[in-house]
Amino acid sequence: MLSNQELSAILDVGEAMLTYGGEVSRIEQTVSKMCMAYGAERVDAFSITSSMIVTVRLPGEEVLTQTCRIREWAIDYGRLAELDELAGEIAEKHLNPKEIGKRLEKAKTTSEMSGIYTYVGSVLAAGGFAMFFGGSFRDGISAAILALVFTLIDRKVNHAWLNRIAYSFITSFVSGMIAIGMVEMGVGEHLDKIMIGGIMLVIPGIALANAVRDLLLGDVITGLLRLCESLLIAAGVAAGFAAALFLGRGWL
Amino acid sequence: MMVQVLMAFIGSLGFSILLHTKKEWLWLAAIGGAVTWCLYLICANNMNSYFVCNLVAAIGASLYGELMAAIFKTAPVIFRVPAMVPLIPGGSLYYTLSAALAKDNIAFAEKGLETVITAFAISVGIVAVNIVCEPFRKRA
Repeated sequence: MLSNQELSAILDVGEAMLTYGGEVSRIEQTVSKMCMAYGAERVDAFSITSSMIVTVRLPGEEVLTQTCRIREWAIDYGRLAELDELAGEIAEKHLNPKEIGKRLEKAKTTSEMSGIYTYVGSVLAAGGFAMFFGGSFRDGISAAILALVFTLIDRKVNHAWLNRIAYSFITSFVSGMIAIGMVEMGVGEHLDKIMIGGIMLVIPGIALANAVRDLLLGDVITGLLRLCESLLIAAGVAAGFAAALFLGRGWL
Repeated sequence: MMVQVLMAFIGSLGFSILLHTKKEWLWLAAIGGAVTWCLYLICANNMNSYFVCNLVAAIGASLYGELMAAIFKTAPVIFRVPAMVPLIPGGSLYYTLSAALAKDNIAFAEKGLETVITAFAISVGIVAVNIVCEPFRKRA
């Protein structure tokens, strides 16, 4: 029969899935499924991006409720896939809390690729999209260089103390200035295409689409939360690029 | 046009890496981006509405995500998000900003609306597929 410890373990898995970018409604279902597998009569799981609450009704009189807080949001689909698999196994095999804890730790520290891949990824993303939107090969190279610098700053400078909006503003501003620099140096041809390549790295486009999706699916609170956050970050990005363009136009 | 599809592939590959997708799935996730963009281009060839084109392409991307998720027994998000990336209105957003700075209010409104409508179309696509596929999901 489901104990509080087991529920804690299940909740930890759910929390991890939310942290690594899982879909809210799907995770609610996954948690329910795990609890039901341990013999629950009824499970009510509810989650928003920053908190999850589960109430389980067991056969007999007992009712368990636990909540957990999701503190950060760092998308990692490799870990999410591991956790998804773990959740399936928990439901099938009724793993005990210690076992779940061990597997969870392993899943949370899985690292698909070393830091250098982050550079590769951002170079491909920025360069690819600069050309996708019509830029020339030189624009692609410029955007790629922009991506390298951007990633370097992102990784080396400790920005945990900055709020997301301020950070978006600063990185966008720096990206904008680099783009202008590229054109000035004669590497890049079309400033707008290079900047678009850079923008793709910072805009919360995915988060925005997810926000509207959550709203449309009826997860109004999550949707609104994500929407507001996305809009604020987008505003930060806009301000950053605008500032760079404004300053740059003065020089160009 | 082929260059664009290739760039969509490269861009999606880049994002898949940034999202820490499992190594063995990287190429499939990136192909999703190319396929989605092909779908968009086919639509754009036959009609004028960017709302519909984005909607159809988003539905395609979501279906791709669900298909891959069923094959590999994992979460659809993992394949859906990289596939969607070429649709994200990065260009529209930039031109919206540009117009605002140039004080071109007409262009600002036009590009701004384009950005919002595109994002909306993408979301509707995701939701539509979600609702249809929901009853068929075996794994939670």
